[in-house]
Amino acid sequence: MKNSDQFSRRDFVKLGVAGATVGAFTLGGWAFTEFIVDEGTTDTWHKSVCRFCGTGCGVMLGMQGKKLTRIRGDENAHNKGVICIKGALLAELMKIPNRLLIPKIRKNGKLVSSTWEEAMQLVAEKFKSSIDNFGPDSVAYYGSGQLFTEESYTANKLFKAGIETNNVDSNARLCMASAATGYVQTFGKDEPMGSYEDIDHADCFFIIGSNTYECHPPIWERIRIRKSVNPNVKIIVVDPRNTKTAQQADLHLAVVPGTDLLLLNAMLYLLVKCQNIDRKFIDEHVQFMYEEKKVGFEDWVAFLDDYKPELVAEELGLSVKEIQTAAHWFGTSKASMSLWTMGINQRIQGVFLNNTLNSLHLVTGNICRPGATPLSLTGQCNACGGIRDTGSLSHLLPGGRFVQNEKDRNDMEKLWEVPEGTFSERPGYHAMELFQAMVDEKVKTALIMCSNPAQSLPNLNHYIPGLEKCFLVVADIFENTETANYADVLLPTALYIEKTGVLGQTERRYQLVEKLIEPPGSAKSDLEILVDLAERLGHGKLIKSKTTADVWDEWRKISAESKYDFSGITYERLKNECGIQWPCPDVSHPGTKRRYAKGDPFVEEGKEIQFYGKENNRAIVFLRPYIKDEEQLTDEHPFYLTTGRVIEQWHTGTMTDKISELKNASKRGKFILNPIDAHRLGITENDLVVVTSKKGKIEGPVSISDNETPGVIFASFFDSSFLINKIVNDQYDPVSKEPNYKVTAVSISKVKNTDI
Amino acid sequence: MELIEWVGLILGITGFILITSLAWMIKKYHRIKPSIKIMSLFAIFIAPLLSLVVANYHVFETSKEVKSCMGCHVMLPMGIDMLDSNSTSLAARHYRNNWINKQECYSCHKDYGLNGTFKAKADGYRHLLTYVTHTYKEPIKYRGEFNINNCLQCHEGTSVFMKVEEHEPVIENIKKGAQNVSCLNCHGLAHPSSLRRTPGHPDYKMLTSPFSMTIKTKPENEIRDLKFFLTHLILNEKPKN
Ligand code: SF4
Repeated sequence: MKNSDQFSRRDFVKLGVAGATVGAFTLGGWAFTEFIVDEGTTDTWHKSVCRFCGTGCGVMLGMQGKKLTRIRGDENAHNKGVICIKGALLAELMKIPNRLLIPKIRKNGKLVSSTWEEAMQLVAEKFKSSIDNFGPDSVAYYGSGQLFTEESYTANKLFKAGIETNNVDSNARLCMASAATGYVQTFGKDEPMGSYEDIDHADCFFIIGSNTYECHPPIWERIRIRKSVNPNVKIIVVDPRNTKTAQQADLHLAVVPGTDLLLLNAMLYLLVKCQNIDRKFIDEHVQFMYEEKKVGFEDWVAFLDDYKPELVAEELGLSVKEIQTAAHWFGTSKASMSLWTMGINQRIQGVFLNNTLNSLHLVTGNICRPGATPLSLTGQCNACGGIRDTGSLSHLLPGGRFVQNEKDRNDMEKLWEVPEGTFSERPGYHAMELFQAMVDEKVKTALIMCSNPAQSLPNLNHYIPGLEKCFLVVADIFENTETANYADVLLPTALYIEKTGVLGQTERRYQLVEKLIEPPGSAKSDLEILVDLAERLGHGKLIKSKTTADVWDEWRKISAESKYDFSGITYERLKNECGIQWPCPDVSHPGTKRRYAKGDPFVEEGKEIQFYGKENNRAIVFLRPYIKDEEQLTDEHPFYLTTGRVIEQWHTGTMTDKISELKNASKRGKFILNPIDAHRLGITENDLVVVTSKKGKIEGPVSISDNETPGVIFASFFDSSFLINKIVNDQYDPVSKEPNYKVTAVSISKVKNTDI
Repeated sequence: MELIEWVGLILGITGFILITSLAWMIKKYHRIKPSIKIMSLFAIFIAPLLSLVVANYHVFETSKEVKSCMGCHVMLPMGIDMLDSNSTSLAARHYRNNWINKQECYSCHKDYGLNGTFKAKADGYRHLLTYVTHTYKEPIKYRGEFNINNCLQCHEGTSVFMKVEEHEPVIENIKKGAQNVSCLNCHGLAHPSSLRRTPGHPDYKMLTSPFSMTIKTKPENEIRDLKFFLTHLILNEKPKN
């Protein structure tokens, strides 16, 4: 008889089948879920950088085959995954139709299709004949803070060491020159000492001349988060406009345009008076100077007597109490951080303002420690790395060297292996002089790359004839830019991830953009164009690095001979890391978060702080007097016009104004007025008005908004059908040569009949 | 115990009693009376079915809880960061401000509609199997794309949302069907970055230790409960580092 307790073979099989069934269900279910939980629309993700503004956000690019389909902020980059709407729409940028696909040459007034050979041959001939007939200073290069570093470096080398002209300048002159000069004068070296990370430690933010909310949104988000986590943090915003940044401030100081140096000096006065200065820090690290002359602490204190709040408040348009509050918050916080941009730089006293902002930090010891730093926010994605660091301006040479300094010239002649005396000791034409030289027919042939001066220059009407007279070679991605209208030769270029190169943003961080797709048509990278031009002009040996990787290595090695040493930042590292901050002298160096402080490779062992850019290791506090802006209100011009960017648009809108989401959101160019002014003038929303300055007049629609303060009219410059720069003042800072875009006296009247 | 658990328990006990009595009756009477048939129908089919439904419902419901998600230690950095009053992540900000005050993970991570619930559960099942079979690697990665409709379900149409003009291009992008703008682009990381969640990173220890948290915004008992749960979890299942 079968023992019922025995486990039969049959039972075993049954159990096995049951187990297998359960297992099959489990695994089948797993496979099923693997199948139904979708992977998203991208095949691969690539680490990259946004190509628009100087925030330099790290992005992750999602590719589907050869198409860019998704953009996400890079969570591991400095921006911690936050980007703005422009960056979020980079995929749309790459889809813009009607790119320039082949070179074009102007024949009988019309641009006609050509070949690279024909176009480049013509370009080389024109350059050669200008140089032969009128000397090397009859040609020029006008570049951009949006080219890759390798491209700007090569252009600078070709023109300064090859063609032997210092006529190398760029659109960065229009946005960053005052900040760069301010840093050089105060600390001996350009570029800031602080980092974005300081935002996470600051207790007081002093934001002046920056609409951070719209122009550097991830930075604003970081400030906002800092405040939300620590509500005691104070935000002071100094801006004539009630911008979205100002609306969220704890204290908004709506100064009269052009007067804010009075405010900075008044704050310094109060800091001294209330003993909120750091005497020990001053004694150890600071030198006072009036112009070229060394002065003492007492002289500085006496100088500030002219800026008692009671004496300046009225001209500033502020109350004494407001100035006191700002000085008190700045001086008593544990760590104060200043942030500024074009509102300070694009000014007739731009350098003085930059000096004085740096002084606020030096005299209070709010510098070189977490949260305590001045930090000038950069406009373009590569104005710092590409233009300032490579010395691609008419008065500079690479690595913080100066054209006028003999030792600097000799150093660079050795490094570039050209004979002594190659460089001219005379600075070339800076941007405003360059376009004037075109008007005066002193510059006969020019190469303009990645820039749109026919829309971005102030007092446009004056400079346009120069663009017409000069033989203009324009390298761009589109044919319908304002500048392309004046091109004699138009060269199609690669855009963003259609080429490889390095971008260097605000906080000395170098980041790599890798090529992911081929450029359309026969478009080439700007570097390829420069290398080709060098060959044709007989400078092929000088421009020996012909690929981006080779140029980078050459520049990297040259940087080791300066305090800009980034020789440890190789392409290999950049491919794997989310950017590296220089100085970075070797490949194992992690980069320098805080410059001039312990941890900076140039700070001597045992020192906590060393301003090594200056011979005596002391940063300079300049006595900078306020000079009234020439643009004063009169009966004829009773309003101030100030210009700026809006969140959706990038500069002259050549790219962003072709992306429907951005175009529709920003709407068209217009004048924005305060309701009180509008009411007084009998102007209502969408009325057509004429705004007139000493430079001319333009017509446009009006929008009425509380975001403007009475007496101030705002207009943005992205719309090519609304060329606001035609009426903007073109005076410039006497030192930095940066134009005074922010202050133009104007009148406004409703259009009855069109009289333009 | 919650009501649903009581119901399950009662059903289970009832089923057990019925089956035991059924076996006893069959042994005693050697035949099946109609009353036994009804009883057996209930014991063999109805009670288990009801138990299954109740159990499933219970599992479905409890798997929506934060505790359930954080049952796997790879999820600890997300949970701990969310509870941390000093964290600036989106999850922490939502939690701190009580914008979502229960089922915090599930509320954002399930797509809306029936399909969404099904997908969330399916994904949960996938997570579970990946976890128990150890076929994952830290830092774990979100599979596919986070559906921004999950954000818009709550935010779109609110006055705060509409007031922000900068949302205009986002809405246009969504309407266009391109959907390549994510809310996270402008509003920041939902959870600690993958770098910080990588074993060996200086923040990893902190992100996997409930002792590092500062929680100020929830009722005391809730905080105690969560901390206790997490501590218990960590002590029993030490994460790799
Ligand atoms: S435009 Fe500027 S702020 Fe916006 S994503 Fe690009 S780099 Fe960042």
